[in-house]
Amino acid sequence: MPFEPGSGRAPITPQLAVRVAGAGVIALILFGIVFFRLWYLQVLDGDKYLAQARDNRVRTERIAAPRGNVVDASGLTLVQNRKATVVSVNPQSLPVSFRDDIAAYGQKAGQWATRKKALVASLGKTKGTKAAGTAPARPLAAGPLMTRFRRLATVLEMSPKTINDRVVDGVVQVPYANVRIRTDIPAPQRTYIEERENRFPGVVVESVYLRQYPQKTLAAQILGTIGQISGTQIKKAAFKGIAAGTDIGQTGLEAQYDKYLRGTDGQYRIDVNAAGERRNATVSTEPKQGETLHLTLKLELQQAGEKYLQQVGGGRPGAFVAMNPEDGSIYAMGSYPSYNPRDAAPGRYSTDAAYRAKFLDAATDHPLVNRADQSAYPTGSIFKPISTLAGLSSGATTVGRIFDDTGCYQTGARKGIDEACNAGHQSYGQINLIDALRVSSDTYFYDLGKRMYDKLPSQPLQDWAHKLGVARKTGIDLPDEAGGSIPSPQKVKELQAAERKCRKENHKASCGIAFLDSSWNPGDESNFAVGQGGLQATPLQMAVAYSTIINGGLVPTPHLGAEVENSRGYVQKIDKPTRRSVKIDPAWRAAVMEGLSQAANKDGGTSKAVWDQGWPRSKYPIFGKTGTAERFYGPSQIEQDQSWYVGYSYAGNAKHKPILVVATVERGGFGAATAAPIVRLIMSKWFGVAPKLVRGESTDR
Amino acid sequence: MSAASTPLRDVDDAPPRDRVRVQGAALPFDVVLVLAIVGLAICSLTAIKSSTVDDIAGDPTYYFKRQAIFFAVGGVLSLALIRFDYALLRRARWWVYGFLMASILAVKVLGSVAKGAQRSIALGPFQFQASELGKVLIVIALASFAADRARRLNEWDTTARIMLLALIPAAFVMVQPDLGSALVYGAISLATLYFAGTPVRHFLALIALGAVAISMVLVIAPAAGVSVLHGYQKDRLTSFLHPSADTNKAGYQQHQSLIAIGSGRKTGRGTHATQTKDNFLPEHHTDFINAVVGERWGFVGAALVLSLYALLIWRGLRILTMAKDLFGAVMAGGIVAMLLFQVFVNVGMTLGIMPITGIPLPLMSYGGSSVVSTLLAIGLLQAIYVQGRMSATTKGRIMSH
Repeated sequence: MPFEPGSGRAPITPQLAVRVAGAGVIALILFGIVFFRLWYLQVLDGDKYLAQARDNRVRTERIAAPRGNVVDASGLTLVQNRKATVVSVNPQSLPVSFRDDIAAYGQKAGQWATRKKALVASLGKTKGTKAAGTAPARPLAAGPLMTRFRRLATVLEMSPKTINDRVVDGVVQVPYANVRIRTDIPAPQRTYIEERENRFPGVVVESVYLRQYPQKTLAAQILGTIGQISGTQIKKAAFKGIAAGTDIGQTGLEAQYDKYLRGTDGQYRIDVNAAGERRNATVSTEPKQGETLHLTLKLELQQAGEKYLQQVGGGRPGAFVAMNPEDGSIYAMGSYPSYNPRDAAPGRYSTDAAYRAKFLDAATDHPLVNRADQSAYPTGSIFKPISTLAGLSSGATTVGRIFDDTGCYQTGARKGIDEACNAGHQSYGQINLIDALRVSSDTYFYDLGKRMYDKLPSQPLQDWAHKLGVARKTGIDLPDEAGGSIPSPQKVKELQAAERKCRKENHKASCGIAFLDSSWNPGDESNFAVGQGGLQATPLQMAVAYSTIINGGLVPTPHLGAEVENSRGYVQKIDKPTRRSVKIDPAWRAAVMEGLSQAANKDGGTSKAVWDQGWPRSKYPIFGKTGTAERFYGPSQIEQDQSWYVGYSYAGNAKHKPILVVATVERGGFGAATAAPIVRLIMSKWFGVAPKLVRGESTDR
Repeated sequence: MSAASTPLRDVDDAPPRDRVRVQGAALPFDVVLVLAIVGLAICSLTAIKSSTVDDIAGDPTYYFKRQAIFFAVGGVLSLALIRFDYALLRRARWWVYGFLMASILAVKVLGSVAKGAQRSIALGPFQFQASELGKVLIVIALASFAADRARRLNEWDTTARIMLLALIPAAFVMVQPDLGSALVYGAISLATLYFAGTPVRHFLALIALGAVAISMVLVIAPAAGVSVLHGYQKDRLTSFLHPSADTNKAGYQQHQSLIAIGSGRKTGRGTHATQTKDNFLPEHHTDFINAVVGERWGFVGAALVLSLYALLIWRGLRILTMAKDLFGAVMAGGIVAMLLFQVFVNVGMTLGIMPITGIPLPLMSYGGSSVVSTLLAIGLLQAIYVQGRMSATTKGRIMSH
């Protein structure tokens, strides 16, 4: 049929044609927008989105690196690792409501602890603090979460409540890290959980390396402990890039050399789907074990030292340091009581109280404290060589000056009160400086103190104590070293200012810090000259002071770390600490050394008896000084003697290096009675002399 | 055999111009439209098959098989409609409208709740989503009413009535809640008025009214304590403006969709696709099917699918111009608008330029109600085409290229 434009109805009205054309234009624009957007996303920005898609799919998981071993000078192991299975709970798997409960509980518990602490502080005791209220109860999981805990509890053979509490405490402490529920589970349990992954949502079973201490309590305070990185630590620059939940060194050498020991974590590359289910896991980076830390410590000497400290010291708290006076390398350093660092590992105690009972309460005698470098004590007579140097350099005395020791010394005007006497009121008669060191005459040094007091405003004694490193951090490679205190006119004023401030703030009649009516007087200086009267120094500081005298002025920096060795056997020396030096006239040094020698060898010497029976004096000459410090103990401030001894010897051959030993025993009696025998036994071990316990009978301080 | 060969001989004898005409007449429906539909069906099935392998444990072809059945059922119904006299629909307009309302209300009463919304009625193993079929029904109903009032289109009364007829079911659908379908109903009603020939001033008035209504819903009502939109709906409607701001909540899907499509780059990631296959993008087989295409086959694949839609829209507009009467033309216009609106909003949503409204991509997204309803609409288009041609032929008018 032919086409007839004129016939019938027009195909469409012009109006409709316009509208259809309009619709066509709209469609064209819409498709144009979509095409342009598609081209922009896929062609221009495609690479960016492809990278995001890959990130989406791949999750990385940390493989904890084993920490480096710690070995002694001959490579004998002090700390190593053991692989163990740990079951943890991922806090992100917990329902949001439960996490909210935990957060609320954490806040309440924190407030409660603060209240209680304030109450204890104001009462001065732990009893009668009920006003602080009872501790808030931990939130308890409910519904399916409790079912999960119960299921896990059955497998791990523990109570669901314990799991609940560990999860709560763990999340309170470090909110983002996996919470360890149980360490060291047997293989069958591990397999059981791993094969039923979907029955244990949020439960993580992994292998971790635990620290192992084959020598148990040996050198525990030196080696230190590890623990999960805390919320405050993780923000510090030193721990940059460390994942939450990582174990880091918290005390001792573990903390000091953490950056070497830590190692580098590896990574699993895990392909996951959107639900987080694993598709495939490969090790993308192998973990690198931390470097092996070689110490200057000698395992055998350390063992001997700790054994003798305990046996001879009769189980009283004490410490010893054995070091090379020339370079400061420490052969052995021990503190009693000690502990097994394994017991201090994180997650070992369910409550704070249990931990405190084992480590912090007064009854424990504070095993965590390294008394060799963290406890400052009055030193007693072992301070006298320092007084000697101060006296000689200031001209307060000379080597040959004769002093009439009548047994007692008048420090002030008041008869009977301002009087100080030798131990047992012993009178030594006409003595010179060397004799005074030999017999440890207190009156000689009281007099010397008075003579130096007369030199005010110059303070030779304080200056020399400071120069030789007394009451001053030694720079040892251990964290939290103690300082100490040197008595002086300024110190008295400082203490009085503190007393005034305390009285004003607390509205008390006396705070017991200082007397306000007294000032620095000759008796104070005299007391200081015999190592009392407010002097506080650590055994390690005394070792440094004696080493400086022995070296003729070179101040060694004591250290334990020798070198670090990585897994490929590359050895790197730990930087030698910088040393300073003190100018000591050789004649003064000779006088002190003569005095120390006579004290240990000549008749009347305070520690002669200790070295008498069988010590090869000609082969290993001995220099030694006893000390007996008066120290006050307990709430009723009972005065008891702390035993001190410093001994030095050398062999004059290459086989045995020189050794300086400082030992102290709290409440150990006179220096010759307890500390000196310990030093002899340690030296016996060092030089290979038959060990013999000889307690001195000297009654001299 | 001779009956069949007669037209062929005619063709041989006919002049070149007639040859085209006769060949066109030999096929009783729009072939290009059918090709577009078949192309989209293939794309849909391929995309669904590849992206849902891991979705149902133990049955990697679960969604594929079901979608194939939907296409088969829809295809048969669509073919059946080709020879259907659509004028019957105009006569049954109140029945159509009544059925539309009844089915939407039935969902409210009998419907099952899925993902927080009550949108469907269980029919055996399948879920019948009334609002999907409603899209076609409302096209038919509104076109009939517009045709009835063909001479009174410039009256405000007509525009108001038609809008009211559309807004009642839209409101019911919106409270299901199914905001997407309600918007589609709105688009259809506007298209109906537009193609029927409503004066421009009416549209301007409607736009003003719409602006007032939107500000009521979004600003004034919440201030007065009445919330018309659910919080998630408002989040969805606005989150496309800042897809990366909160990648865990409302913006998550859109963010993942952008990553999926973008990562496809020019030629796609093929079997290395992860976004849609490993379920980083939920609803990847339904509303976000375009992201599957974009990720697996890249710009090339997505452009192909869009081209098929462009073809579909073009054929739809062409059929509109060929309709034998106003009713057919307006119905075709409604169908075109329904398709164009859904395609643009859905694809725009996957591309991050449109809000998430729960509108499926017609003929691509998995879902029986949507596939079958859309194929019914395509069947109607074919019927309009066929009847338009027949009427032109009898009147001596042929439109061809």
